[in-house]
Amino acid sequence: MMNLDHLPNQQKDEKAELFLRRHWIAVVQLVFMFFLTFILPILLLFAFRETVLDWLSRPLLGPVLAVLLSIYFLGMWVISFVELTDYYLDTWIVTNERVISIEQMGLFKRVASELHLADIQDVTSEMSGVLETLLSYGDVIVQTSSAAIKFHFKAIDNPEQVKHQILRLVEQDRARHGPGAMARQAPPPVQEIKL
Amino acid sequence: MQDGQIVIPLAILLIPYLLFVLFYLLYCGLNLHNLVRYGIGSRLLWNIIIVFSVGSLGLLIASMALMASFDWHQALSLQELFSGPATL
Repeated sequence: MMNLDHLPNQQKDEKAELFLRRHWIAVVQLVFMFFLTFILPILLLFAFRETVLDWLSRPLLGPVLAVLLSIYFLGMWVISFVELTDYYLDTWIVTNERVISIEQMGLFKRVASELHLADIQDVTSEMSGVLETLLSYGDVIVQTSSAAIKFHFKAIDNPEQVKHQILRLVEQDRARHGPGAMARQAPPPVQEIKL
Repeated sequence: MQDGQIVIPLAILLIPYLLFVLFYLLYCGLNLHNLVRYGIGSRLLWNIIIVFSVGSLGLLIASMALMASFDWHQALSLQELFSGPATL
């Protein structure tokens, strides 16, 4: 298990400042889907239990129905928890030295990346949509000087506040260490020559 | 075949069921492995692990109990099957 006090490749005096997951609305959506696909069918089976018991007592229909119901409910249970695990393991950790992005994609794929604060050039927050505006959640995009490298924090709480916190941490890091390797390697701006 | 009739053993229905149970156990195991290995240690994580483990096992036992209530040794002939809805 991971421990926030003992992060992978942790540097001396490094500590976690922000620990982010997707907004709780994602859990509400998961719970709603679980209710629709698992709880509601159980309630319906209970409501029509006399008919269901009659079907289950038939010589062929009974076993077929038993197999189908077993596969359905076992399947819905495991799918719901795989989705919950996906939500739970998607995390973004901002320390006073770096940004760590961990994204779980299903059971068999996990992408973990890290970016040093000194290499961050731009931080953008985005909130679009009625629900996002009312509940104050959205995306934060962290970009380095290289356009190919960026971190995308998806559907997090208070993205504007998170953006300001990251920028503050970047400033503090630059004051301690100076500009990062990517910033030093960035090509000088092109100067236009008029002939 | 019995007396020229084609007979289907009821146990044939157990093949897809058992294959699914195998996948179910594999997916449950992998899900638990991911939670334990990559989760941030906290009370919430342990609650999720316990609920998932107990629920998965409970559902599997309930499913197997339901399946055990049938006599899988019996066989049904095709002629009986197509003779009317009452035989289903």
